[in-house]
Amino acid sequence: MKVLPTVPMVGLEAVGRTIQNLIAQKVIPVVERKGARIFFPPHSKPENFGFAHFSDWGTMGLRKQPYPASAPFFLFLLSGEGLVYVRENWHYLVAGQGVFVPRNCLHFPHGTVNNSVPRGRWLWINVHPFGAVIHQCCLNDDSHHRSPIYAVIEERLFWLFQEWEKEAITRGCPDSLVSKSLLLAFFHLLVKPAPVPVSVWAEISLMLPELPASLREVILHLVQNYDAQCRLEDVSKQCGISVFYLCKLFRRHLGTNPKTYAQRLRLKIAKQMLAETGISPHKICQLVGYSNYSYFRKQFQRTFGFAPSRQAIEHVKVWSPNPRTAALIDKLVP
Amino acid sequence: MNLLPNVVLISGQDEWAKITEVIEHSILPQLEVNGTSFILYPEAISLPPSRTVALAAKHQTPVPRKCVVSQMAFLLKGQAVVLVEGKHKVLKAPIGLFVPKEFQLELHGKVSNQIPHGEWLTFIITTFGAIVTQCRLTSQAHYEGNYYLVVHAGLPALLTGERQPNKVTIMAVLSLLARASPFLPTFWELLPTSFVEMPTAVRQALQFLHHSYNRPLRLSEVANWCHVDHTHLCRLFRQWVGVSPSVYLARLRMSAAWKLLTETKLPPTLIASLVGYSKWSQFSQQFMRTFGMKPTQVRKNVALEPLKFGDFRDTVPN
Repeated sequence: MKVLPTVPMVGLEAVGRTIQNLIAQKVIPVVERKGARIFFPPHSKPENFGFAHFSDWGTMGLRKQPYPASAPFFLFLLSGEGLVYVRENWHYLVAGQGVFVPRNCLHFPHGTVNNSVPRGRWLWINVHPFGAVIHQCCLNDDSHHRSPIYAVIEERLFWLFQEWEKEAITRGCPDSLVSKSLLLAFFHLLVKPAPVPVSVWAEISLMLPELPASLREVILHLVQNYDAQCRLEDVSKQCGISVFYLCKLFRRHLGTNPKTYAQRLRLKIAKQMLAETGISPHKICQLVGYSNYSYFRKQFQRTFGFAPSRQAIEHVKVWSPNPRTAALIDKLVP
Repeated sequence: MNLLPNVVLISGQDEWAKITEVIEHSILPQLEVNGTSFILYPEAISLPPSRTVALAAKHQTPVPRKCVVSQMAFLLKGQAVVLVEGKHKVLKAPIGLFVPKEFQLELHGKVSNQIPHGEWLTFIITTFGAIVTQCRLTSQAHYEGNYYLVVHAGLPALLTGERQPNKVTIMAVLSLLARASPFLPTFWELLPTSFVEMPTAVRQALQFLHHSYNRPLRLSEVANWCHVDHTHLCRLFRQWVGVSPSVYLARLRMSAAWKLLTETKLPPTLIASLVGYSKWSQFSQQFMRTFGMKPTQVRKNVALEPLKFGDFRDTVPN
């Protein structure tokens, strides 16, 4: 088996936008060319295969036997090779292929061949009622790295996915044009809204059900577009309520005005990104929609009590698998 | 570039199947190959020849209406004169037309007292889903096809914020329509009032039921979705639809189960879970009550008529 160089998972590799760009550049063209077939590969089983046994398996809290998928998801192999157990079969994948794992389907993502794990770079796209959860994962012989996990908040993704699933599973024809265009629309929609770190979304989603519907819509809009400058008039127009009523709702239910809320949201996302990735504070400042670094720094200091550069220094050394975000994902599943 | 075939959609039995066939086998492939180049945006349409053009058929309003919603139309066959934003345009098949919100549109104009022969397939995207209609024009008459009502929240959501037609979005919308199960026109007539006139809560409830009949549902869930109290919802539902939400849901599930049983080879236990029953006994009991036979007997009986939604409305106990 060909041995591939280990792809380092540092720097911008792990940002949500980068993952979205990878989807746009690698996944969409393949789907456009070959249709939904790439997620239904023919099952094949190389000689001397088995379940994976990484040295840091236990510390990661991962399972060693096939387990049911709590949410349906897509796997896509960006480079290298991979061995996956899905739908009671082993699938041996090469770059440019993927697998679709339905809900409750027994699966095991990383198998071994001749006692070594095939090296590969994976994209994972989980589908939830609120949208999708995306992350990247890189494998080498002795460890299983997890990058930070991002949520793309967009309900329409779920609508599209449900229709696609009905088409693909009950009709059993991933070759049809309908199935292909639904899947294409799903991925095109996936790369549009700005992705949010999962832990931030988990915090927001706990609070959402108690709020009135119009306020919920406003907050979802703010979360979807946190990286863009949006004016109060535009937001209220989009959600169909007046500016006055919007401010009143914010004050009554959240105790702040919309501007402060949006600012805090962005700073929270910036803090999470600083903690989980090794990106410089200057880059993060641009990623969350601030154009002026000194202003961003000042606001950050005022909100959390320490400078963004300090948050970065604390975490850049221990940047490694993040079991906390992994645990949060399980919590998000209804 | 000539991929749209000349299909004749004669009104009658199984028209929806023909419409979906046209979508799936002619419009979608053409979109895939050529993109949206054959779908015209009103501003891109060439200017008309200088001939006297007037509005057609008698039962149409003399003044073109303003579209409150976006609309897609495909001219499958023949010629047509359309009136967009006060300008007349002559179109030749095969061509598509995408008219965004708040444009004035009239699809049937006439040239020197004659209506050009043509055949249209129109998709009106509304706030609750879409209305699909097909109409055929001859020089003497203006045949109206059946109106099909597709309730699906995903359709308008996909097109919000789109002014220019986008290939992927339009493909997705058409794909959703090709796989949708519309209200049959006959069933639609059974409703005491038209869907459009119903209160928002009932419309939302119908939409919710049609979209998620395939999983276990509770009445409180439906009521929460529509932001009304469950007793109020029941009352409204009885008033406007004629039956309670749970009976309506059972009918939906039964018609879906019948379709799956007769048209596919899936095992009946899987079908029960696909249409939203968690227990087999519950499913077979309801099936027995509705159709008078066991689900397993359906397959053995070869000569079965295709079932329509309205057919068994009296057999379900209220």
